[in-house]
Amino acid sequence: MKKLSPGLRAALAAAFWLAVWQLLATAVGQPILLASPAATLARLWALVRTADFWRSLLFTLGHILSGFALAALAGMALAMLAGRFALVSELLSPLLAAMRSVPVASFVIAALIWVPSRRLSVLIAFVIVLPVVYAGTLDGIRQIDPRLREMARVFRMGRWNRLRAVDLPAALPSVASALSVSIGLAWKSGVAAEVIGIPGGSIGEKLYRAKVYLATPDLFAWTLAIVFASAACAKLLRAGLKKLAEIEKI
Amino acid sequence: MDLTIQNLRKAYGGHVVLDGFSHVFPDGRVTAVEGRSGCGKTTLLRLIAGLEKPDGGTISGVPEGGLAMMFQEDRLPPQLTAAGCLRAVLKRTPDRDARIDAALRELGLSGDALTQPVSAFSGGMRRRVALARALLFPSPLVLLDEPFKGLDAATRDSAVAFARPLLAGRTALLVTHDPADAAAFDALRLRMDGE
Repeated sequence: MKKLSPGLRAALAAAFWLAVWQLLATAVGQPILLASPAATLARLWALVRTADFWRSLLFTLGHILSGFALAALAGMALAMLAGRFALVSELLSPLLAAMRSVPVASFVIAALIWVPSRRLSVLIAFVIVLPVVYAGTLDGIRQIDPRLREMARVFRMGRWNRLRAVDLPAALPSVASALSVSIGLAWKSGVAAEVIGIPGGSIGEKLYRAKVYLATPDLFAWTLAIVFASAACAKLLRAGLKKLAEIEKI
Repeated sequence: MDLTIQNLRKAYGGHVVLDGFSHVFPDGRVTAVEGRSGCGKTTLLRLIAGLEKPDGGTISGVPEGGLAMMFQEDRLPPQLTAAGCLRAVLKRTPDRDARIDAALRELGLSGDALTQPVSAFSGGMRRRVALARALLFPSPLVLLDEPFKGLDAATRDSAVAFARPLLAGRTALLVTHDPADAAAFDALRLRMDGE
């Protein structure tokens, strides 16, 4: 039998789970308990044709990406400092371990006291992403071959050449993996924060209302929108990281 | 300017590697640095290159603009091509790429070898790229740590022929276990183990 292409295999796997979903929904027979794929897609199609959908999507997207970007920058900067000064690494270690293990809900409830609910998802995406990017970057820095660093020092390589010939190729895989994982985490935690904080005009508010009014097709449609948005962000991020990897070539 | 070493001392833990080593390496000459393994030849190069701090003594005559060094290991960024490894350390000049191409060809690196990353190279090929990098780097001081190690006779001869004109007029320390190297470069000889 001819071997199927990876794309086709992925499509077939997705189709299989859609079929399982449809069968389950048919078996349950109550859209309020389990909306079918057809009902979900129909609701999503109705939603995307409204301006409110795009306003909510942009609101949540903007906040989550802001939190993600700030955490990525801060995480990388702190890891660079920690890679250079052991004291910084020791000092940050318990704080970041605590940030990794504190439940998102605890962060959200505490953060509601400090910041207005409109800014909540920025802060939550930040605190969830920061330790992941920090750990990934620190791990990447530790992959840099010290013998190549010595070579770069002896030949007085400029900062830019050193970065793209020595540092980036060693560190990038680990940093890229941390960023790829954390963009999904930013979406999950950011939306969870919105559901608790209910800022007006956010996706979280829409999910909350769907729950209150038992509008299961709405809940599923908004969830699908979140999945698509998160996947699109991850794809764009991976494309950007691929471009970044190309500048290693001298 | 002569490279002058005075009363250099270096120990790792309790193991003394250099104990009051002094020597003047004359300007513009190649000096073959010989001696049994562990007598401090590589340590001397690392101290001159500023990669280690001496426990005592002084080193003078190291050029301000840096020095060229070929390490005992190749130390090439594995993802780069041979030319990329050289471009990474050589300043951009109008003739830089042409010089790099000519040097690699002279060392027998051409065709497919020019497009592959050095991680795909044999040990001997990587050694030649490291040699080209050290010799094309424009410093009056060149440190070479066993540059021809692992090369077969014919490749070694072509590497020596490549290196000879590029070392002319430069101060060079050539760490070697092979007496033929000193002869090939009409080098002064220094035995570090006193044998």
